[in-house]
Amino acid sequence: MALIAFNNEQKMLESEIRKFSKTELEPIADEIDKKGVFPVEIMKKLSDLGLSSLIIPEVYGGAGLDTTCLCVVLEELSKVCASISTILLVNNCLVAFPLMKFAPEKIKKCYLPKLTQGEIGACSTELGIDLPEKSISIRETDEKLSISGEQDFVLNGETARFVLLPVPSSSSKALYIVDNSPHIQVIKHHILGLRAAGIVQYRFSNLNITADACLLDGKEAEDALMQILHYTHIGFSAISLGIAEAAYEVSIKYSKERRQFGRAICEFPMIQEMLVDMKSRIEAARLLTYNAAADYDRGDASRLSANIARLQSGEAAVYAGIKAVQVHGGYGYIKDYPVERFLRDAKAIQVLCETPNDIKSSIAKEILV
Amino acid sequence: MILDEKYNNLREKVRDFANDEVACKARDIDLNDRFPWDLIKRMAELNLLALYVPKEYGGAGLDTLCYAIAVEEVGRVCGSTGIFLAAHSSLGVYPIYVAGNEEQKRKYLIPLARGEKIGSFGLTEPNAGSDASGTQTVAKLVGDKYIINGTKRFITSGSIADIIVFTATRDPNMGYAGISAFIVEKGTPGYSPGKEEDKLGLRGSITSELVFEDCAIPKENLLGKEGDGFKIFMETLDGGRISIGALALGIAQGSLDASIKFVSENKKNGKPLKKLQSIQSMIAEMATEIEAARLLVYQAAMLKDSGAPFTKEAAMAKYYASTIGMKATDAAVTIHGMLGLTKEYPVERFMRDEKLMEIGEGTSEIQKIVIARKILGK
Repeated sequence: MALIAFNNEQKMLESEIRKFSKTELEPIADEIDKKGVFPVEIMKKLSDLGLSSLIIPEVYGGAGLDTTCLCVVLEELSKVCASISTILLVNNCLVAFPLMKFAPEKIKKCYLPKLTQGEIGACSTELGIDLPEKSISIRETDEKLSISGEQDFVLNGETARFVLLPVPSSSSKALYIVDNSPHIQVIKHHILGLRAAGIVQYRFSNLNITADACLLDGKEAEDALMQILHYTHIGFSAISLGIAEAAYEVSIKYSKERRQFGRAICEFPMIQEMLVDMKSRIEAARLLTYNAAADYDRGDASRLSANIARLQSGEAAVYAGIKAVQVHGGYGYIKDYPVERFLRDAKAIQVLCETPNDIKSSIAKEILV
Repeated sequence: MILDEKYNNLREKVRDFANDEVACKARDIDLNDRFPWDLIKRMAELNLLALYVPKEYGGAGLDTLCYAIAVEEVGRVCGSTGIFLAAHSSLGVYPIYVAGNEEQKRKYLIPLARGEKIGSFGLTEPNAGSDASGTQTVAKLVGDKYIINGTKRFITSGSIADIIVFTATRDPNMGYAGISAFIVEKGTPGYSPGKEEDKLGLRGSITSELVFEDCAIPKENLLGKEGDGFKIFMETLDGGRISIGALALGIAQGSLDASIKFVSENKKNGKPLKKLQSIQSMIAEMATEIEAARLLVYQAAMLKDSGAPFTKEAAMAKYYASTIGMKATDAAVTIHGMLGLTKEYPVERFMRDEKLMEIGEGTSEIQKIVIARKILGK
């Protein structure tokens, strides 16, 4: 596609990640999904290659890459294992990005190098519904702050050393950073997809924190959370894109090999129609994803392109997952082939942090201004 | 749709069973790949395993519509239990009911209908999926026995079935004309159930290979005449499609039920979810399409019961119910958001279970070919 022209740096990154995916990821992707194991070793290898904290500036030991590069990495990893790319997305978009943008220098100096050295950071995410009885609260007693309550979805929570915590405060929101502690009980989820991504529930019981754990509050926190979310949408879009491409590629391969009625099934128009629909949606998702990344890197404050990219890529991936299983028939329904995993991962990514309904209403708000 | 009391009574009976005894176990059945032996025993006690079979052969003496309603109601809470019921009744019982001679009916149909034995149907092979004319399992008549060699794959309840109807060909080059249907009993030397599949959904249902290695079965176990295999499995699948349509419908209804509950109990920013127009739009679409699917499924069942041709309508029912079912179960997960990904809610299970409905007993693509042929001619 002529509209997306990668520069040399991006091309090199793409081929490096492809090689890594092939040699390191492919052999374990099915297994870590089946067992739901957080891929500690793989994350260490990615980190050693300098590929885990992509967007962190070089002064903090990061790679200092742009959003397009981030998308290249996420897309390529997702073609093989969306759990890995989700871990990377959380580290970059939901942990490094907020720290880089909104934390005081002291906090940056403390936490960003940890990420570049391969530590995992977590971020809790809201469910989109009100759960007053469960949500966490910060109590102030004797000039000390303590956190109690539950967070149902903490991304990267399983192995993280610290967590970013958006907390509802009396007036509006606040954003905290909290180190892991015995006062945090980790409860594992058994979820549909992204099973190796370490998505867990946290239970806080009187976890004491200091005042500087609060990075932002009030209106500032609310604006920051919106910015973080929109930036993250670009990353999600790249992951959905990668899953869709993977589902499409294996469907092309299978439909050429599988013979029924005396010919390869790819010769049947009904199979072709599914492949064509998958490919069309993928091309659109690809353009939207890299357009959103380029918008961001150009300093365009428009959130519209990020929202639209996430919405369309998310749908494209679920569509591609469903159709890839269909092209494979009975073989698509079993774990001997990766397509059922692609479908599960695609659906999980589509609803993470925000659902298509939430994104549609954000888009509506923007286009109706 | 207004139905006679007979159907409402049956629905009520099955719904009570599903709500009281199946729903509480569905999560465990899925999560732990647990085959629901206990529920099968209960379905046998309730006489649900062969609803359309006359009482003299151990059935309930009801009809196809009753059967469709039962599958729908069980599927509404548990796809794995639903697919067992559908496979046993439509694939295990039906071919013997429709093509068996009196002796075969006495020997095999009665224990199957009563649920004393479990039935299964072996048609699909590794290289013969949509194209059953590619059957490579061979049956050679030697003296008074057929010697069977070959492998079947993706057979529902295969490895646990006591009585299996399967297809084999006299000569793989003969296409449909060479195919016959046979009955094999578990324990017959040379027959062994092969490996079980690890599936996306329906994890409490067993799907396995059937392996025949010089398996000798008595000549009397031929179902119908030699070469009748194609006719028998086509008829079997016509009926089976009604039950898969009913199961797709039930699973879709289950995902709607769960969604209604979720949006009624939860709020977003202080506003009940059910007051949000975006949610209302999704619920309305799901409910409308489910209702349309229900009409198609019941219509196909009623046509079959009336003795009229129903091939096209059965294909339409299965095609439509599974298509909108996939859409509905997908929407249900979206409505639940991230919580919908967890085992605390049934919707991700419904989505995984529903996908098979677009594949099993003829893919959606095959259904469209069947429908088009009936409309446009061959």
